[in-house]
Amino acid sequence: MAHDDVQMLERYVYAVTKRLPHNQREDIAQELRGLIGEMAESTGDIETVLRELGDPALLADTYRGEARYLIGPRYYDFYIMVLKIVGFAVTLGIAIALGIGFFFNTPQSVGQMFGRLLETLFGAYAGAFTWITIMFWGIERYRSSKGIDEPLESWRLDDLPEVPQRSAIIPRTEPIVSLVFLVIFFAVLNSTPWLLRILDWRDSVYIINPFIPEVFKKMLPLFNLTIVIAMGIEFAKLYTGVQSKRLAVLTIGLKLVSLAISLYIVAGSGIWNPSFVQDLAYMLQKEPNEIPFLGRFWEFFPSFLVIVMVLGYVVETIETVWRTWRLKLPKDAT
Amino acid sequence: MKQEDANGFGKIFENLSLELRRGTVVLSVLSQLQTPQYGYSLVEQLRDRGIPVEAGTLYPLLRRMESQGLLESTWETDGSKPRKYYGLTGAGLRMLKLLSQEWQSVTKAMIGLLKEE
Repeated sequence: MAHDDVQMLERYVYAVTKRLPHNQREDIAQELRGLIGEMAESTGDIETVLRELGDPALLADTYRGEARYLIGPRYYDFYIMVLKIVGFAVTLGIAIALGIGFFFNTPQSVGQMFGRLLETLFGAYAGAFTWITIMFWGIERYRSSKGIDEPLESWRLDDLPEVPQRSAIIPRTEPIVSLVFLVIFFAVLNSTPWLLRILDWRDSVYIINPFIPEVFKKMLPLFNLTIVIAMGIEFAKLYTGVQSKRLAVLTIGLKLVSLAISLYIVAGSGIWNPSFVQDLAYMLQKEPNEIPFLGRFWEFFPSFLVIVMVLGYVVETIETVWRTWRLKLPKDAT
Repeated sequence: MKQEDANGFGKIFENLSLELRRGTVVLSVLSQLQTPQYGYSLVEQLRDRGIPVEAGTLYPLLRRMESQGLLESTWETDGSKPRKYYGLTGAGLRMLKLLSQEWQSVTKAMIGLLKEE
């Protein structure tokens, strides 16, 4: 074999084996050298032989034998659906959040405005895409490592879900709308500290914050956690598409966690600015005792929130339970 | 337009016939390895006997069948170039018998089906 031919052969062999596990490389390389040499002898031309063997990446795939993908067919449809919904929610949420932001903090030019909009949007798309993909990849790896997706043996007739009653079907719009609002809430909470200020727009700007900024900053991850939990619930609704006992239990449980976190933020973290009313009075050019109603309201406000949240949770739980069990759902309907 | 349709049809036929033949490759390989052979001689032998299998398909398949315990391999380094010989194991031989029976019953049934046409 000519020197050039040997070089080309080695390049091809390398292109295949570099894609294979270490412990098989040497053996397969040997085998391929033999094969290519033999084929070249009968055709006389190494290029023809290599063309016939085809793309080294594909040959390596055949050697590896196993599927190489990020997200398999089982979850692909749901993955695309989640991407679409989140894309929609992110677009709307950011447009609204930035819109409010521009109202308070008007950009110098239209160009600047669009620049910021595009920048924020693309950042958010990239982030959302990355996290969703990582999440699905994790699910995919977990399921295939557990062998959960092994076909047929583990599948039983009993696993087939009951055809849902009409009233048990969750319309897709319901979780989608919730997700849009959650994204808006998330964007506003994380990108716009100005929202926490009350402004006086007559001539000057007073910064009056109902929260203590340092505590707020510390609590922000917890706020975000409750939003992520809420999003998780909506995605679960979207995935199952049907009201079921399992979904109800999951919802009630996760919302309880959320409630606990929220109660801590509201009542246990000392997030409220105690001099808020005083600052407000100063801005209104009044003495604090001239606005006794506001003072009392502010004192009572955290307790008020606690009551609202706990009541909200109880009502929601009762509603979920009533809606679910009234349907007389079969145990396994998921 | 007509030409395109004809091309599409030809392509579909090609794919379907490939798919039809794909299932026979393992049995073909088992049948030819009762006496050990190295990869390329097996490629040539199968081609000469009317079952062409690409080397890029056959070589990985041989390794997979080895890892399934149906084949065993030894490197022959006596000649000018080293060659890896594959032969049937006991399990490979049993598999050959079983799959042959399977093949017989499938062809018999298929012949029946095709006659009714």
